[in-house]
Amino acid sequence: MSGFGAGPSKAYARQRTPVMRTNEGWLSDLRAGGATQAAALEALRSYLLRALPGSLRRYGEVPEDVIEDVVQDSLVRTLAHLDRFEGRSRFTTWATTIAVRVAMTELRRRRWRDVSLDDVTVDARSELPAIADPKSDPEGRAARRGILDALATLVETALSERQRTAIVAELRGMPQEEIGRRLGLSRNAVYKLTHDARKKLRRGLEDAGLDAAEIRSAFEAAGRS
Amino acid sequence: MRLDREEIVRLLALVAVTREDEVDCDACLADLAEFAESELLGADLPVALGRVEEHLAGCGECAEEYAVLREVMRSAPAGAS
Repeated sequence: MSGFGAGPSKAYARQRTPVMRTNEGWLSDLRAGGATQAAALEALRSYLLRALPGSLRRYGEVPEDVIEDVVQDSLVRTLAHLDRFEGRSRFTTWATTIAVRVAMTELRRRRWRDVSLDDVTVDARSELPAIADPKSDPEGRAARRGILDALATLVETALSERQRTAIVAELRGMPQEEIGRRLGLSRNAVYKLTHDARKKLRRGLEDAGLDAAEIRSAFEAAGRS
Repeated sequence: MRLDREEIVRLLALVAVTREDEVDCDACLADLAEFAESELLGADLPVALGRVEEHLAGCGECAEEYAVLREVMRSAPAGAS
């Protein structure tokens, strides 16, 4: 892929286009083609190259060539999706959301590239141990244990194989796009898959006579014990 | 694929906040810039953006990306608008 503004272009150097632009200015320049578009792309590229590395550092040192590739990919996507920008924020904030998603997707891909779905969905170390909260009453403990057991059973019986795999992998920390990469699905499709699974589990608990308030209460109590 | 207790408790937490109608990651991304600017300005959140907040509470990846976006905005380099 030929790079947008792989270095300061002659057109950019010739122009004295200020980096500061209104939203309308960004849209108009990026749609203009030719030297005007090249200058706007270079300005956006330069902004992202300065803005991203420091904010990504908490996820480890990101090699410079990776940042360059991420920014390049972000510019391509930003141009492709210009029609989706509705002016409800600053243009650069909107463009940064795209760049951050591209960057985090790449960092997650690199972090998880050697991990298979089988690696993360093998059986857990232990079954549900007893809830030992000496301060709680025996009836409350039994009720909470019942809800957790019911949920564990629903995971095994109510979900499709795909839903179960996605839910378990997600609970064990695998990012949705990485689950999707292994299942041949987009990140959004994985979100829908796990959302449908969570709704199915909630309905299963409700069918067993538990309403939302009881589920929340059981969660809060289980979280403390 | 047996879950251990900690995983079941975390799943219960997710099930407890699951709503019938949630925005997905792409819809969240579409509104994230407006949401972030409203938050950083301390402005009242438009009702429609409440769904972004709900999504961020339940989606680890979008929440992670939002944290990076906020960091970028806090330390935004001068010279871009």
